[in-house]
Amino acid sequence: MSYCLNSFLAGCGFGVDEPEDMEYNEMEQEKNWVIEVQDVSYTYDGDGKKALDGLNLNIRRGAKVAFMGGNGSGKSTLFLCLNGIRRPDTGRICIDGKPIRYTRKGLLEVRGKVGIVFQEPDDQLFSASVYEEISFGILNLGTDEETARKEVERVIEELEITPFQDRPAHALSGGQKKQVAIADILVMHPEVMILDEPAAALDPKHTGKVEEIVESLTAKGITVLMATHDMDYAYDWADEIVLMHEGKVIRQGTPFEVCTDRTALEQASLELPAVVRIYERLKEKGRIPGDIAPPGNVDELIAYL
Amino acid sequence: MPKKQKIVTGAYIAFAALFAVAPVSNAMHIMEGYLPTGYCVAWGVICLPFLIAGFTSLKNKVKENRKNLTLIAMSGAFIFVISSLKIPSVTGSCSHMTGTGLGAILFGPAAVSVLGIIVLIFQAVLLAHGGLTTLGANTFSMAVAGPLVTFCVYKLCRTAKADRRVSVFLAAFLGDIFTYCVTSIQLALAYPSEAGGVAASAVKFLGVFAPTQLPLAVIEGILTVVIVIGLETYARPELRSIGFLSDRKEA
Amino acid sequence: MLLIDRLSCQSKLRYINASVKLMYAVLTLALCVLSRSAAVAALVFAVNGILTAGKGGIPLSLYIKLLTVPLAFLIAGTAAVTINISGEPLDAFAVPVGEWYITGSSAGICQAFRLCATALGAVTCLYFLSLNTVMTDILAACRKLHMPPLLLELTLLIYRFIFVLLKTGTAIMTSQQSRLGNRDFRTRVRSFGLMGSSLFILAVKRSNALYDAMEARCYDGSLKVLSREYPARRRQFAFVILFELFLGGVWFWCG
Repeated sequence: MSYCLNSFLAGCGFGVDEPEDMEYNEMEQEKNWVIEVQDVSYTYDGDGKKALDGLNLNIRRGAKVAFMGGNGSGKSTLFLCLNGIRRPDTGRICIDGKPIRYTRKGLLEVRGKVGIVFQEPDDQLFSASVYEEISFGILNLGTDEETARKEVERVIEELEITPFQDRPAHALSGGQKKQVAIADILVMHPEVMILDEPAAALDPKHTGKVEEIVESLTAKGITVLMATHDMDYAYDWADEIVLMHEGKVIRQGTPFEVCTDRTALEQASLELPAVVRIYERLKEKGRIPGDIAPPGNVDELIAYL
Repeated sequence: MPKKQKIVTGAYIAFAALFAVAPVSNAMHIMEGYLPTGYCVAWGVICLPFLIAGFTSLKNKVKENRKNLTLIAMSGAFIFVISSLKIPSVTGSCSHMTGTGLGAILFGPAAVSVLGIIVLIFQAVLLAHGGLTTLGANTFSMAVAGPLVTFCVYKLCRTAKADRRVSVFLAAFLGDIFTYCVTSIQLALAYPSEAGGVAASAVKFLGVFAPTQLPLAVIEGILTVVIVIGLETYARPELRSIGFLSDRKEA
Repeated sequence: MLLIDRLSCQSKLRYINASVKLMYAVLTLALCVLSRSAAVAALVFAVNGILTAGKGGIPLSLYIKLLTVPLAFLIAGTAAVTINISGEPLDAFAVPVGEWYITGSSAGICQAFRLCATALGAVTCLYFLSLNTVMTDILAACRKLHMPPLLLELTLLIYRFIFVLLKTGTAIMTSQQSRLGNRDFRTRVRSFGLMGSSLFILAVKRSNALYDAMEARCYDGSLKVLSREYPARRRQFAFVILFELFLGGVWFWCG
């Protein structure tokens, strides 16, 4: 933020920073980028269209980022590129400042840092036993058996999986499978956790549970990237929203910044969150002063009234 | 994953599906404890070379491309599922497909032996069809002998330029019949008749199971053709890559 | 979806060490089949019934229903063994049919009786294992026996995938039936065939997705997993050994 302000001021003729200071600020910013995507393109075999088209993106460490866009906008493909499952045709991706190396060791390193919880748990759970399923990831990281057991049991308790830990995977409900899918990744202590539409097909109870889990992730300092169609939730939860359309990022910024960019929203086929709609209407009608900061969520809006 | 491998693996799946063994009330699996110990062991030993060959073949496939592991596993699951779902029968009774047809046609008999024995173990444990002591005998009749015949008949028909559907039907049908005959002979060898020895006993067993097995073989032949045509319609590129449509010999 | 699989999760004997259960089932099965003695088989049948339906808590009605599953084969097979068609009548029974007799000998009937007993006893051993042990525990026990890793990995994956495909397959069939896909024989054949090919294509897609998910968790070529351990108790081992010795004694004594 301060970098933008400084560039603005500098642009206006106010030479606020010396060149050396500017470079230092830049470096500071880069150290904070946990993910950098530079000009990445990807086309699936046999497809004519590009799934990702010269995409550029930076993600700050510890941020809560919501990815939004229509089906086919490239969110899932981007996620698969971020942990090396798909290799971009052009461009490069840096994790923690280092470009992804597509060697066995390099990929293992990336995947230890960046974990993906897939949208469909049945596409992720390969073992019928919950315990075995969760132990898979951490064993692959080379952890010894004893420590691995402790970690698996810790995660099972933390995510409240204990009541159904002895049931076979096929006897679990969708929400329970989702909890196991998240546990699968959490046990590996990733720095970045990507959740591809985590609340898809979940009932309100389990959606609430997932939201709780996501809050605890941020509390641990994990960077959370989430693909979602729920505008209201994204507006409330996210530090940043990334709008995608046809393989490109069309807008990235704070929730309010993004939501006031009508063209971008339209392009991504998204609607304004209810909070913003009500806020703007109330402002129009003069019910709330125009200079007040936009509300972050429903509670804040109610407080204004 | 290279297309060719995808197809070959696809074939494994199909094969596996075909391999599905015995129906609920149609008894092609020899039940648990039915064979004397000597025969259990003997049939197991006879299967071993085929199993080892199949296992080596699968190992190589996975070594070539690790992705084949899940594909091969899906094939095994597919076979089990196809064999556990009820198929339409003329009489309305409970019938299930065996599946020796499709798999052998698409993939060849080698790897099907291994997938077959795994499916048989699951059928014994999860469905009580067959048994652990009779695993050797059942594997030989359903995972080795049947698929071999299906594969050979299919290749022969194609070489003779017979119509594709006829080839598939004949191969699946004859594979099924052969499995049923082998099972009857296995039983006859273990329980020779007092009047007429092994031969008479074989005739008796053939006779006893014929009413269920013969119609089943026909239906299975038809279903195999329908599934193959379905695959040809929706999965043409993959099938062409395995060489299924172009008739190239692929083991 | 699969009855035996569901019941195995509910068994009261579920948390007994799987290796002990496996050892018991296999040894008892072996003795039953080796001895081909009606006395041994009857004992095995009774003990397994008590263990499974009694101690294991499997509902008796379901247990009996499951015991009838191999009956069709047993009856057909036993009939084939007992009944002969021959020119000469044998000593147990002989029904003349034209020039031939449908006949059987008492030795044959005796053999058939022992065969039925052995088969039923053996089946209860199989049921003891499958109804009281969850499949993943059986696989974990096999892993300890150092079977070829690829075989065990395939079996682990196949077991999980079976349920994924069963769900999809039955969903497709239900959907077909809702749209009159089972109207007549011809339609049913076509529906089943279409279901089969669709299921196959879905299976390929699923397998790719599952592989990606495994890779995303650093899969490096060997499927390493940890199983929950339920330590074996010496008392259980002792019971198994003593019981097998007892069976051996019964075999030796009663023949």
